[in-house]
Amino acid sequence: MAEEERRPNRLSEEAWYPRSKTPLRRTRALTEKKIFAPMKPAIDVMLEIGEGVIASMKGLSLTLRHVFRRPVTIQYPEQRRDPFPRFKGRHVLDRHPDGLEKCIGCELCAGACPADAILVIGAENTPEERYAPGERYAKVYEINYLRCIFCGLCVEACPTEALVMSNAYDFSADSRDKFIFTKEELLVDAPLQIRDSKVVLRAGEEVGEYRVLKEGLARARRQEERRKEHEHTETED
Amino acid sequence: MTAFVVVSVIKVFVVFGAVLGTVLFTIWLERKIVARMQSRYGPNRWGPFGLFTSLADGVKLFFKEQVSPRGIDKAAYVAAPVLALIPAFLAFAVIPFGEHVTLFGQTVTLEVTDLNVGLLWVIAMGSLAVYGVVLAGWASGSKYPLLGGIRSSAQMISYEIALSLSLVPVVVWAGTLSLREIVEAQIGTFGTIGWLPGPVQWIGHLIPKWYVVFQLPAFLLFMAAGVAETNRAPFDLPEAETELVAGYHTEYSGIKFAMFFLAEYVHIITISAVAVIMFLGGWDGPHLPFLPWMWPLMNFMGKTFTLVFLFIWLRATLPRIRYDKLMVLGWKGLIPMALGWLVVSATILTVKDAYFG
Ligand code: SF4
Ligand code: SF4
Repeated sequence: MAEEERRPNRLSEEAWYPRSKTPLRRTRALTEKKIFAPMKPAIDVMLEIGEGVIASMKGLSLTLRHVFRRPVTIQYPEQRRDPFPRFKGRHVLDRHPDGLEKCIGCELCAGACPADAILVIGAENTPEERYAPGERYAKVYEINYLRCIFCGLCVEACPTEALVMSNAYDFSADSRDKFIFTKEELLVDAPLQIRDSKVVLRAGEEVGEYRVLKEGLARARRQEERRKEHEHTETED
Repeated sequence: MTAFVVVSVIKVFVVFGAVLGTVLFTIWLERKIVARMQSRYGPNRWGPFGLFTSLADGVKLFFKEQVSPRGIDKAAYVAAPVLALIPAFLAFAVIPFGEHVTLFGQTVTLEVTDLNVGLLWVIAMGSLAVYGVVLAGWASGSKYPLLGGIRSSAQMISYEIALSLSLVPVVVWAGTLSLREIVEAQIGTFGTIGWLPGPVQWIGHLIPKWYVVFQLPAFLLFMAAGVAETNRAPFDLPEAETELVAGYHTEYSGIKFAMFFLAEYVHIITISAVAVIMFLGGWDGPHLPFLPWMWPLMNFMGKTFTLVFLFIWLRATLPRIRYDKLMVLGWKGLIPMALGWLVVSATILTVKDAYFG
């Protein structure tokens, strides 16, 4: 969201804690005088009631003033606030500029993960089926987001900068197995631009000339469809 | 005779529907106002400004599964919400919300019935509400509802005294217990006040003859006791969620919970309506020449909702007070003050009658 659109959600200290004025202080000092001593209990009660009323009035006026202020709520699904640039959101698997996957299936990320959220099963590249440069690639790559604590240790462990974290944070689902993101969902369509070894992605935003989809699920579904379509045409041929 | 019966039945249904609609509106109003006082939006999804939210809530609660815990006293458990709701609605039977209207040659008074002890009826129905709460607390067979029920009964019984005592001065001044007659005694202004110096005598034309003018202390006492009587913040100890989960209705769900909820809001409206009748001149107020039957109704509604707003405003502002302080306030504060004011206002009345005639 642009800066001018941001609402001030912090009020000044003055607004929260108005300097307490005690208009009855002078009256209270008066009652300390000797002539008032016999009446003191009665006066004290009166002063207490007075102070209570004044304090309540202050509170009531404060709440009434708030009615005419703009609410600070951010209307979430329609209105989004960008996370901080280095916010650790959902992972993505990057590609090399030539389109090959950066991941070499070394399983270091899985080893570093304190929550045991990553499953990597590597396999050998062959000249006919080459996914990654070098010998190996990740045949299976899954991150279980019910376990992940978004610590980022996997990203630090990765020797090829294949695994990076995006800013996407809202990927709730209605069943548990939708939280296990597969390689198809995690892998980006095309290489990301990497700045300082940290990807700054906004949901659905263009990065360089490539676009990273926020919705891994939608993409997986589309890929599934594409694959089925492909098989279909193949059988027809 | 038949006409009377038909009219009465129609009136019962109209009043019931109107009260139900007003309650739904009040719930929405409360959520919206409290939200704005806390710098939030409040309900805004269903209908314009979220106006249908309470309707949707009602439908949801109606169809929701009713979970009842083991170890409940079945009969009392089922009876409690009904016992809470019925008196709340019954109290509305005697509340006049306008003058007469003439429809199809029938003169219809705008209330279900004009009881000559109407005020007593309202207070009695208010007292019956305790049974629902106590029974709910007892029948649930669980500690939080029990504590909530006990607190509530103690609180409601104590504050009922202050509530009724604060109305006595008005009854003494009006000389009747019929709510309609009490309102009729307040209609108009003081007119020219003879004993004031000449140039300011006209000021009496601006001051309505509402009892709040002379009975302001009674009005304040009534409102304070009324907030406690309806178990609203800052006196909402029976359902103090930080210590009692939800108090007496912890174990209730679905439509039974909805009944308690409804009863609470009907009580708020009743207390506001009674305050309007007793102190703020009922339907007295501006009358414009067009639509003559509408203005009394509008005046009455406007005043009632102003007081409902006061209830909501207090809830959004004041923190809950401690239980022992509540009892001290009731027994050592409001009741003596109400008694004292009764003596003072009776004296004023006697002096007024004797010297100003
Ligand atoms: S962010 Fe932390 S918890 Fe999540 S997969 Fe990476 S290492 Fe595991
Ligand atoms: S993501 Fe990185 S650390 Fe994990 S298997 Fe691939 S290359 Fe190794």
